[in-house]
Amino acid sequence: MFSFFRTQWTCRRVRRRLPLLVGGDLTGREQLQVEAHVASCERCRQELCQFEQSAAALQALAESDAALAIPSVLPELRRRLATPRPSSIRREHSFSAAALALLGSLSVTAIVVGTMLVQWAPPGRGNGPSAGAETGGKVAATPTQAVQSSTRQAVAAQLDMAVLASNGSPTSDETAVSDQTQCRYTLDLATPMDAYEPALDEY
Amino acid sequence: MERERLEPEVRPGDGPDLTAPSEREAGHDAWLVEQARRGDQAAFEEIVHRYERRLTKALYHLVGDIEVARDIAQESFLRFYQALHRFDASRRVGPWLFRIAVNLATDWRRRGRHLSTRARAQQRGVEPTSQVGYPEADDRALAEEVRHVLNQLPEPYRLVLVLRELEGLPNSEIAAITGRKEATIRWRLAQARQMFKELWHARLNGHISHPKDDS
Repeated sequence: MFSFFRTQWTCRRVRRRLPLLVGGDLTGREQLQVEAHVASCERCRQELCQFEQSAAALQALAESDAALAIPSVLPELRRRLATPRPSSIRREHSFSAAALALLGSLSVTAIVVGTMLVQWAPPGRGNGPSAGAETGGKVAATPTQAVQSSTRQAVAAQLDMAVLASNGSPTSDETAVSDQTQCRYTLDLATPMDAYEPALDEY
Repeated sequence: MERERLEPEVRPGDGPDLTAPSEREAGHDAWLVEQARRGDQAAFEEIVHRYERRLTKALYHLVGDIEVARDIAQESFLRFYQALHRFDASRRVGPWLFRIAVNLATDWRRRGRHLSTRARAQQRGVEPTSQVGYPEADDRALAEEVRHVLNQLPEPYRLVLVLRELEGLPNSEIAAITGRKEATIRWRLAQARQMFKELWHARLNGHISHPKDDS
């Protein structure tokens, strides 16, 4: 007979291949070895029997699927093709007022720090504290007044942002930021498919 | 037992058989793609008609919700339509569509599972579609049992099992859809069958809960 039948495979080696045998995924020598082992091993035969039962269960599901009544997606698809709109399976997150307020706070902080740096530039360059800090059309006599003035501006700006957030009517710049953030949760229809495919690499 | 084979000539609406693609089917797909590129919406709709049932069924097994499966199928076709000009006509439509759909399903599972079917339907302003209909109550009960066990598998294993056992795709096709080597798919399939077998027999022996007990 063939030389590979002289040394039978171990149960462990065969059992790793039983799920492949039951699905018809074994060929050639591998298949012959596994079948020869199963024919002479009661425990592996029982194991194979269990695989066949579970495969039959899956087969039953596949056959039930044939009777599934699935409504066509065409009517909705036609509507979407006629009037493009954001994906219907996006995550339902909107840009919240809290996020807008946080963004406003960060912007204001940046303005305050920037203003302070300008105010405290070294003397002799013409716009340091010694030259008088000009804020809002008025000249601040001391650095403390300059900081207080810029802080007032910051608070006023923050209040404006809070009002915007509560009114839900951002300016054009803020709308751009809002849209960008929403894209994080929206299926980007403009993205090339290749850019989307690597998701499966995480498997 | 003969696995379900989808043949448009015999069963309109089921789509082409991806497991044994004929030159004629592939050629017809390529022709439809070319027509759709030229703006022929009827050609695009025929592509949808050929693949939607099969795609939705596979998605149903992946996400476990028929409404979500239909949403994702719809989104997949929309992306396909928008990328038609970049589609290489020498490639087959089926694997490309499945790849888009599987990626979307994976994405959905990562972030959108918290919404119930009814909540999503209400957000869309429509009533949820009635539950999927099976002809026999016994068939439905068995199908639900199997589906419940299937849903307990980790996603990568469930994916290969669904594509292979329920959709009948060959390993080479699954490798193309998932972007993995065929050898990887083969062993992942073996592991998936092993896991399913253990869960199924644990269920038969009453060691794991019934779907109705989970709610």
